[in-house]
Amino acid sequence: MGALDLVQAHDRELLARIRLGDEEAFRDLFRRYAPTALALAGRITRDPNLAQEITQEAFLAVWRSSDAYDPGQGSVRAWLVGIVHHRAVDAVRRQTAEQRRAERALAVDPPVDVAEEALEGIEVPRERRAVREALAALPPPQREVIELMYYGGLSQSAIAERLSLPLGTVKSRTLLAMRRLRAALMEDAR
Amino acid sequence: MSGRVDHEEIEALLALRALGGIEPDDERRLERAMASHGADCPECRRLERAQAEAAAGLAVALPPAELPDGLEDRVVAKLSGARARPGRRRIREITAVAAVAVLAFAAGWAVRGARGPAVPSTLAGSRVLALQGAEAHLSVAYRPGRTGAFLFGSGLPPAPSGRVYELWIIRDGLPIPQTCFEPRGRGGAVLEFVDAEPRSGDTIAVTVEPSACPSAPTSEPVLSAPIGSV
Repeated sequence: MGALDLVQAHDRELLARIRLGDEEAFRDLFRRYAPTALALAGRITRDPNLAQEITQEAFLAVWRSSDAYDPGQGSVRAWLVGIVHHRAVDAVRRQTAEQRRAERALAVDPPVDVAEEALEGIEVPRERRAVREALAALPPPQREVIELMYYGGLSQSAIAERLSLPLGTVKSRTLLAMRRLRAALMEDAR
Repeated sequence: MSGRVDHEEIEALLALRALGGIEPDDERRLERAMASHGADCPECRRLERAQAEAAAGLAVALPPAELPDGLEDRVVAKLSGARARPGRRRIREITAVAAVAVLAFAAGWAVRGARGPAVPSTLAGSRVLALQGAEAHLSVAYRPGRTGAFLFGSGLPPAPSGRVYELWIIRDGLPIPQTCFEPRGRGGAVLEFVDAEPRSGDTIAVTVEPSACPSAPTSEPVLSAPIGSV
Protein backbone atom coordinates (compact mmCIF):
# COMPACT_ATOMS: atom_id res chain seq x y z
CA MET A 1 0.00 0.00 0.00
CA GLY A 2 1.44 3.36 -1.07
CA ALA A 3 1.37 6.62 0.83
CA LEU A 4 -1.59 7.83 -1.22
CA ASP A 5 -3.54 4.67 -0.41
CA LEU A 6 -2.85 5.18 3.29
CA VAL A 7 -4.11 8.75 3.10
CA GLN A 8 -7.25 7.65 1.31
CA ALA A 9 -7.88 4.86 3.81
CA HIS A 10 -7.48 7.31 6.68
CA ASP A 11 -9.90 9.74 5.01
CA ARG A 12 -12.49 7.00 4.64
CA GLU A 13 -12.08 6.15 8.30
CA LEU A 14 -12.59 9.81 9.23
CA LEU A 15 -15.73 9.92 7.15
CA ALA A 16 -17.05 6.77 8.79
CA ARG A 17 -16.55 8.42 12.19
CA ILE A 18 -18.18 11.62 10.97
CA ARG A 19 -21.21 9.55 10.03
CA LEU A 20 -21.43 8.58 13.68
CA GLY A 21 -21.30 12.22 14.76
CA ASP A 22 -17.61 12.33 15.75
CA GLU A 23 -16.64 16.01 15.89
CA GLU A 24 -12.94 15.27 16.33
CA ALA A 25 -12.96 13.32 13.08
CA PHE A 26 -14.68 16.29 11.45
CA ARG A 27 -11.97 18.60 12.80
CA ASP A 28 -9.28 16.30 11.42
CA LEU A 29 -10.86 16.32 7.99
CA PHE A 30 -11.34 20.08 8.16
CA ARG A 31 -7.70 20.72 9.05
CA ARG A 32 -6.56 18.45 6.30
CA TYR A 33 -8.62 19.87 3.46
CA ALA A 34 -9.98 23.29 4.41
CA PRO A 35 -6.82 25.09 3.17
CA THR A 36 -7.25 23.50 -0.24
CA ALA A 37 -11.00 24.12 -0.21
CA LEU A 38 -10.56 27.78 0.70
CA ALA A 39 -7.85 28.24 -1.92
CA LEU A 40 -10.06 26.71 -4.60
CA ALA A 41 -13.16 28.67 -3.64
CA GLY A 42 -11.10 31.85 -3.47
CA ARG A 43 -9.59 31.17 -6.84
CA ILE A 44 -12.94 30.66 -8.49
CA THR A 45 -14.95 33.40 -6.79
CA ARG A 46 -12.22 36.00 -6.34
CA ASP A 47 -14.06 36.97 -3.19
CA PRO A 48 -12.45 36.01 0.15
CA ASN A 49 -15.68 36.34 2.13
CA LEU A 50 -17.69 34.30 -0.34
CA ALA A 51 -14.89 31.73 -0.44
CA GLN A 52 -15.04 31.37 3.34
CA GLU A 53 -18.80 30.98 3.19
CA ILE A 54 -18.56 28.32 0.49
CA THR A 55 -15.89 26.44 2.44
CA GLN A 56 -18.01 26.49 5.57
CA GLU A 57 -21.11 25.34 3.74
CA ALA A 58 -19.22 22.61 1.91
CA PHE A 59 -17.90 21.15 5.17
CA LEU A 60 -21.32 21.42 6.77
CA ALA A 61 -22.67 19.54 3.76
CA VAL A 62 -20.09 16.83 4.44
CA TRP A 63 -21.32 16.62 8.02
CA ARG A 64 -24.95 16.50 6.97
CA SER A 65 -24.56 14.17 4.03
CA SER A 66 -21.57 11.98 4.71
CA ASP A 67 -23.59 8.97 3.63
CA ALA A 68 -23.78 10.45 0.13
CA TYR A 69 -20.12 9.63 -0.40
CA ASP A 70 -19.62 6.75 -2.84
CA PRO A 71 -16.11 5.23 -2.71
CA GLY A 72 -16.70 3.87 -6.19
CA GLN A 73 -16.64 7.40 -7.58
CA GLY A 74 -13.30 8.43 -6.11
CA SER A 75 -11.49 9.42 -2.95
CA VAL A 76 -12.95 11.40 -0.07
CA ARG A 77 -10.73 14.26 -1.14
CA ALA A 78 -12.08 14.21 -4.69
CA TRP A 79 -15.63 14.14 -3.33
CA LEU A 80 -15.05 17.02 -0.95
CA VAL A 81 -13.19 19.13 -3.49
CA GLY A 82 -15.99 18.42 -5.94
CA ILE A 83 -18.55 19.83 -3.50
CA VAL A 84 -16.48 22.98 -3.04
CA HIS A 85 -15.94 23.38 -6.75
CA HIS A 86 -19.59 22.88 -7.58
CA ARG A 87 -20.73 25.44 -5.03
CA ALA A 88 -18.11 27.98 -6.04
CA VAL A 89 -18.96 27.64 -9.73
CA ASP A 90 -22.65 27.97 -8.95
CA ALA A 91 -21.95 31.13 -7.01
CA VAL A 92 -19.87 32.61 -9.80
CA ARG A 93 -22.42 31.76 -12.47
CA ARG A 94 -25.09 33.53 -10.51
CA GLN A 95 -23.13 36.69 -10.80
CA THR A 96 -23.38 38.75 -13.92
CA ALA A 97 -19.69 39.55 -13.89
CA GLU A 98 -18.73 36.02 -14.87
CA GLN A 99 -16.73 37.02 -17.90
CA ARG A 100 -14.81 39.75 -16.10
CA ARG A 101 -13.96 37.42 -13.25
CA ALA A 102 -12.53 34.82 -15.57
CA GLU A 103 -10.47 37.47 -17.32
CA ARG A 104 -9.12 38.61 -13.99
CA ALA A 105 -8.42 35.04 -13.01
CA LEU A 106 -6.21 34.58 -16.01
CA ALA A 107 -4.71 38.03 -15.99
CA VAL A 108 -3.68 38.21 -12.36
CA ASP A 109 -2.16 34.91 -11.43
CA PRO A 110 -2.03 31.93 -13.70
CA PRO A 111 -2.37 28.78 -11.61
CA VAL A 112 0.58 27.09 -13.21
CA ASP A 113 3.61 29.00 -12.19
CA VAL A 114 6.34 26.64 -11.22
CA ALA A 115 8.54 29.60 -10.36
CA GLU A 116 6.02 30.52 -7.70
CA GLU A 117 7.27 27.57 -5.72
CA ALA A 118 10.47 29.45 -5.03
CA LEU A 119 8.47 32.20 -3.37
CA GLU A 120 6.39 29.81 -1.33
CA GLY A 121 9.28 28.36 0.58
CA ILE A 122 11.12 25.17 0.72
CA GLU A 123 8.51 22.44 0.81
CA VAL A 124 6.06 22.03 -2.00
CA PRO A 125 4.23 18.76 -1.50
CA ARG A 126 5.18 16.26 -4.12
CA GLU A 127 1.73 15.79 -5.54
CA ARG A 128 1.16 19.51 -5.92
CA ARG A 129 4.47 19.87 -7.69
CA ALA A 130 3.60 16.98 -9.98
CA VAL A 131 0.26 18.52 -10.98
CA ARG A 132 1.80 21.91 -11.49
CA GLU A 133 4.52 20.51 -13.66
CA ALA A 134 1.96 18.54 -15.64
CA LEU A 135 -0.13 21.66 -16.13
CA ALA A 136 2.91 23.65 -17.15
CA ALA A 137 3.81 20.97 -19.67
CA LEU A 138 0.42 21.03 -21.36
CA PRO A 139 0.21 22.67 -24.79
CA PRO A 140 -1.01 26.22 -24.10
CA PRO A 141 -4.35 25.77 -25.93
CA GLN A 142 -5.17 22.75 -23.75
CA ARG A 143 -4.08 24.49 -20.58
CA GLU A 144 -6.16 27.54 -21.42
CA VAL A 145 -9.31 25.45 -21.76
CA ILE A 146 -8.68 23.61 -18.49
CA GLU A 147 -8.01 26.82 -16.59
CA LEU A 148 -11.05 28.62 -17.93
CA MET A 149 -13.26 25.67 -17.10
CA TYR A 150 -11.99 24.62 -13.70
CA TYR A 151 -10.63 27.84 -12.20
CA GLY A 152 -12.77 30.28 -14.20
CA GLY A 153 -16.04 28.40 -13.78
CA LEU A 154 -16.92 28.67 -17.48
CA SER A 155 -18.99 26.07 -19.27
CA GLN A 156 -17.82 24.38 -22.45
CA SER A 157 -20.13 26.59 -24.53
CA ALA A 158 -18.92 29.76 -22.83
CA ILE A 159 -15.33 28.77 -23.54
CA ALA A 160 -16.11 27.97 -27.16
CA GLU A 161 -17.68 31.38 -27.54
CA ARG A 162 -14.90 33.18 -25.76
CA LEU A 163 -12.13 31.53 -27.73
CA SER A 164 -14.09 31.42 -31.01
CA LEU A 165 -13.63 27.66 -31.19
CA PRO A 166 -15.97 24.90 -32.29
CA LEU A 167 -17.50 23.12 -29.31
CA GLY A 168 -15.89 19.87 -30.44
CA THR A 169 -12.46 21.45 -30.20
CA VAL A 170 -13.11 22.50 -26.62
CA LYS A 171 -14.17 18.96 -25.80
CA SER A 172 -11.18 17.34 -27.44
CA ARG A 173 -8.72 19.73 -25.80
CA THR A 174 -10.33 19.05 -22.44
CA LEU A 175 -10.06 15.30 -22.92
CA LEU A 176 -6.43 15.41 -24.00
CA ALA A 177 -5.45 17.68 -21.15
CA MET A 178 -7.18 15.52 -18.57
CA ARG A 179 -5.46 12.42 -19.91
CA ARG A 180 -2.10 14.08 -19.46
CA LEU A 181 -2.97 15.19 -15.94
CA ARG A 182 -4.13 11.73 -14.99
CA ALA A 183 -0.97 10.22 -16.38
CA ALA A 184 1.11 12.64 -14.33
CA LEU A 185 -0.84 11.85 -11.17
CA MET A 186 -0.51 8.12 -11.73
CA GLU A 187 3.20 8.48 -12.31
CA ASP A 188 3.54 10.48 -9.11
CA ALA A 189 1.62 7.87 -7.13
CA ARG A 190 4.03 5.10 -8.13
CA MET B 1 -29.58 7.60 -32.80
CA SER B 2 -29.32 4.07 -31.54
CA GLY B 3 -25.55 3.43 -31.32
CA ARG B 4 -24.05 2.66 -27.96
CA VAL B 5 -21.83 5.45 -26.74
CA ASP B 6 -18.27 4.20 -26.45
CA HIS B 7 -15.92 4.65 -23.54
CA GLU B 8 -13.92 7.38 -25.24
CA GLU B 9 -16.98 9.59 -25.47
CA ILE B 10 -17.97 8.72 -21.92
CA GLU B 11 -14.45 9.66 -20.85
CA ALA B 12 -14.74 13.01 -22.66
CA LEU B 13 -18.08 13.78 -21.03
CA LEU B 14 -16.81 12.72 -17.61
CA ALA B 15 -13.87 15.09 -18.05
CA LEU B 16 -16.22 17.96 -18.74
CA ARG B 17 -18.34 17.05 -15.75
CA ALA B 18 -15.38 16.71 -13.41
CA LEU B 19 -14.19 20.17 -14.43
CA GLY B 20 -17.65 21.68 -13.99
CA GLY B 21 -17.99 22.65 -17.64
CA ILE B 22 -20.56 20.17 -18.86
CA GLU B 23 -23.81 21.48 -20.33
CA PRO B 24 -27.18 20.01 -19.30
CA ASP B 25 -27.66 18.25 -22.66
CA ASP B 26 -24.31 16.54 -22.38
CA GLU B 27 -24.97 15.71 -18.73
CA ARG B 28 -28.12 13.87 -19.75
CA ARG B 29 -26.27 12.18 -22.59
CA LEU B 30 -23.61 11.05 -20.13
CA GLU B 31 -26.20 9.67 -17.72
CA ARG B 32 -27.94 7.78 -20.50
CA ALA B 33 -24.66 6.44 -21.83
CA MET B 34 -23.49 5.21 -18.45
CA ALA B 35 -26.88 3.72 -17.75
CA SER B 36 -26.68 1.82 -21.03
CA HIS B 37 -23.34 0.36 -19.93
CA GLY B 38 -24.81 -0.65 -16.59
CA ALA B 39 -24.00 0.50 -13.07
CA ASP B 40 -21.35 -2.20 -12.75
CA CYS B 41 -19.42 -1.38 -15.93
CA PRO B 42 -15.85 -1.49 -14.56
CA GLU B 43 -14.41 0.76 -17.26
CA CYS B 44 -17.06 3.44 -16.70
CA ARG B 45 -16.37 3.38 -12.98
CA ARG B 46 -12.63 3.51 -13.53
CA LEU B 47 -12.98 6.51 -15.83
CA GLU B 48 -15.31 8.24 -13.38
CA ARG B 49 -12.85 7.83 -10.53
CA ALA B 50 -9.91 8.88 -12.67
CA GLN B 51 -11.54 12.09 -13.85
CA ALA B 52 -12.64 13.01 -10.35
CA GLU B 53 -9.12 12.49 -9.02
CA ALA B 54 -7.55 14.49 -11.85
CA ALA B 55 -9.93 17.39 -11.21
CA ALA B 56 -9.15 17.26 -7.50
CA GLY B 57 -5.49 17.40 -8.45
CA LEU B 58 -6.13 20.80 -10.00
CA ALA B 59 -7.32 22.04 -6.62
CA VAL B 60 -4.24 20.61 -4.96
CA ALA B 61 -2.09 22.49 -7.46
CA LEU B 62 -3.12 25.76 -5.85
CA PRO B 63 -1.10 27.05 -2.90
CA PRO B 64 -3.17 26.15 0.19
CA ALA B 65 -4.93 29.13 1.73
CA GLU B 66 -4.15 30.23 5.23
CA LEU B 67 -7.25 29.63 7.31
CA PRO B 68 -8.64 32.69 9.12
CA ASP B 69 -8.43 32.50 12.90
CA GLY B 70 -11.45 30.82 14.39
CA LEU B 71 -12.85 29.47 11.13
CA GLU B 72 -12.61 25.87 12.27
CA ASP B 73 -14.37 26.61 15.56
CA ARG B 74 -17.08 28.59 13.78
CA VAL B 75 -17.80 25.71 11.46
CA VAL B 76 -17.77 23.18 14.29
CA ALA B 77 -20.13 25.41 16.29
CA LYS B 78 -22.65 25.05 13.49
CA LEU B 79 -22.57 21.28 13.43
CA SER B 80 -25.25 20.93 16.03
CA GLY B 81 -27.56 23.12 13.96
CA ALA B 82 -26.77 21.26 10.77
CA ARG B 83 -29.01 18.44 9.77
CA ALA B 84 -27.39 15.20 10.88
CA ARG B 85 -28.37 11.71 9.97
CA PRO B 86 -30.83 10.34 12.47
CA GLY B 87 -29.47 7.56 14.64
CA ARG B 88 -31.02 4.13 14.37
CA ARG B 89 -32.37 4.33 17.89
CA ARG B 90 -34.50 7.28 16.91
CA ILE B 91 -36.09 5.74 13.85
CA ARG B 92 -39.14 4.64 15.83
CA GLU B 93 -39.79 8.13 17.18
CA ILE B 94 -39.26 9.69 13.80
CA THR B 95 -41.60 7.23 12.18
CA ALA B 96 -44.27 8.13 14.72
CA VAL B 97 -43.97 11.81 13.92
CA ALA B 98 -43.99 11.04 10.20
CA ALA B 99 -47.20 9.10 10.64
CA VAL B 100 -48.75 12.07 12.37
CA ALA B 101 -47.63 14.33 9.54
CA VAL B 102 -49.12 12.05 6.92
CA LEU B 103 -52.35 11.60 8.85
CA ALA B 104 -52.69 15.31 9.45
CA PHE B 105 -52.00 16.05 5.82
CA ALA B 106 -54.47 13.45 4.63
CA ALA B 107 -57.10 14.91 6.92
CA GLY B 108 -56.64 18.36 5.46
CA TRP B 109 -55.18 19.55 8.72
CA ALA B 110 -52.53 21.63 7.07
CA VAL B 111 -54.99 23.34 4.77
CA ARG B 112 -57.32 24.33 7.57
CA GLY B 113 -54.47 25.35 9.80
CA ALA B 114 -52.92 27.55 7.16
CA ARG B 115 -56.14 29.51 6.88
CA GLY B 116 -56.64 29.86 10.60
CA PRO B 117 -54.49 31.06 13.49
CA ALA B 118 -51.03 29.53 13.79
CA VAL B 119 -51.69 27.53 16.89
CA PRO B 120 -50.40 24.01 17.36
CA SER B 121 -52.95 21.31 16.80
CA THR B 122 -52.73 18.05 18.67
CA LEU B 123 -53.02 14.59 17.21
CA ALA B 124 -51.96 11.42 19.01
CA GLY B 125 -49.64 13.28 21.37
CA SER B 126 -47.95 15.15 18.53
CA ARG B 127 -48.50 18.70 17.41
CA VAL B 128 -49.08 20.17 14.00
CA LEU B 129 -48.12 23.78 13.50
CA ALA B 130 -49.33 25.55 10.34
CA LEU B 131 -47.05 28.10 8.71
CA GLN B 132 -48.52 31.38 7.52
CA GLY B 133 -47.55 33.44 4.50
CA ALA B 134 -47.18 32.35 0.88
CA GLU B 135 -49.99 30.61 -0.95
CA ALA B 136 -48.82 27.23 0.21
CA HIS B 137 -50.07 24.90 2.88
CA LEU B 138 -47.07 23.87 4.93
CA SER B 139 -47.06 22.56 8.47
CA VAL B 140 -44.59 21.14 10.93
CA ALA B 141 -45.42 17.99 12.92
CA TYR B 142 -43.44 17.28 16.07
CA ARG B 143 -43.63 15.68 19.48
CA PRO B 144 -42.94 18.17 22.27
CA GLY B 145 -39.73 17.39 24.08
CA ARG B 146 -38.47 15.09 21.34
CA THR B 147 -35.94 15.89 18.67
CA GLY B 148 -37.16 15.32 15.14
CA ALA B 149 -39.96 16.93 13.17
CA PHE B 150 -41.48 16.80 9.72
CA LEU B 151 -42.17 19.71 7.45
CA PHE B 152 -44.96 18.74 5.09
CA GLY B 153 -47.63 20.19 2.86
CA SER B 154 -48.37 21.18 -0.71
CA GLY B 155 -48.92 24.09 -3.07
CA LEU B 156 -45.39 25.45 -2.77
CA PRO B 157 -44.29 26.90 -6.13
CA PRO B 158 -40.83 25.98 -7.48
CA ALA B 159 -38.06 28.22 -6.16
CA PRO B 160 -36.58 30.63 -8.74
CA SER B 161 -33.69 29.30 -10.81
CA GLY B 162 -30.56 28.76 -8.73
CA ARG B 163 -32.48 29.05 -5.48
CA VAL B 164 -33.96 26.72 -2.91
CA TYR B 165 -36.23 27.00 0.08
CA GLU B 166 -34.57 26.86 3.49
CA LEU B 167 -36.19 26.15 6.84
CA TRP B 168 -35.06 27.96 9.98
CA ILE B 169 -35.76 27.72 13.67
CA ILE B 170 -35.30 31.18 15.14
CA ARG B 171 -34.24 31.45 18.75
CA ASP B 172 -33.84 34.85 20.38
CA GLY B 173 -33.59 36.45 16.96
CA LEU B 174 -30.90 34.00 15.80
CA PRO B 175 -31.92 31.87 12.77
CA ILE B 176 -30.61 28.32 12.99
CA PRO B 177 -30.51 26.56 9.61
CA GLN B 178 -32.40 23.27 9.40
CA THR B 179 -32.75 22.00 5.88
CA CYS B 180 -32.88 23.15 2.28
CA PHE B 181 -35.56 21.72 0.10
CA GLU B 182 -37.53 22.03 -3.11
CA PRO B 183 -41.17 21.15 -3.69
CA ARG B 184 -41.80 18.01 -5.67
CA GLY B 185 -44.17 17.37 -8.52
CA ARG B 186 -46.86 19.56 -9.98
CA GLY B 187 -48.64 19.85 -6.67
CA GLY B 188 -45.63 21.42 -4.99
CA ALA B 189 -45.53 18.67 -2.36
CA VAL B 190 -43.11 18.93 0.55
CA LEU B 191 -42.07 16.27 3.05
CA GLU B 192 -38.79 16.95 4.84
CA PHE B 193 -37.30 15.59 8.02
CA VAL B 194 -35.94 18.18 10.44
CA ASP B 195 -33.41 16.94 12.96
CA ALA B 196 -34.32 19.41 15.69
CA GLU B 197 -36.80 20.07 18.45
CA PRO B 198 -38.98 22.92 17.15
CA ARG B 199 -39.58 24.17 20.69
CA SER B 200 -35.85 24.90 20.95
CA GLY B 201 -36.79 28.13 19.15
CA ASP B 202 -39.56 30.68 19.26
CA THR B 203 -40.35 30.95 15.54
CA ILE B 204 -40.14 28.64 12.57
CA ALA B 205 -39.66 30.20 9.13
CA VAL B 206 -39.01 29.43 5.48
CA THR B 207 -36.95 31.68 3.21
CA VAL B 208 -35.82 31.53 -0.41
CA GLU B 209 -32.04 31.20 -0.55
CA PRO B 210 -29.17 30.63 -2.99
CA SER B 211 -28.67 26.97 -3.79
CA ALA B 212 -25.46 26.99 -1.74
CA CYS B 213 -27.86 26.71 1.20
CA PRO B 214 -26.36 29.46 3.37
CA SER B 215 -26.01 29.24 7.13
CA ALA B 216 -27.63 32.65 7.63
CA PRO B 217 -30.74 33.87 5.80
CA THR B 218 -30.33 36.37 2.98
CA SER B 219 -34.02 37.18 2.55
CA GLU B 220 -37.22 37.71 4.48
CA PRO B 221 -39.38 34.68 5.35
CA VAL B 222 -42.06 33.67 2.88
CA LEU B 223 -43.70 31.45 5.52
CA SER B 224 -43.47 31.51 9.28
CA ALA B 225 -45.20 30.61 12.51
CA PRO B 226 -44.59 31.37 16.17
CA ILE B 227 -43.84 28.15 17.99
CA GLY B 228 -45.20 29.08 21.41
CA SER B 229 -44.69 27.17 24.62
CA VAL B 230 -47.32 24.45 24.33
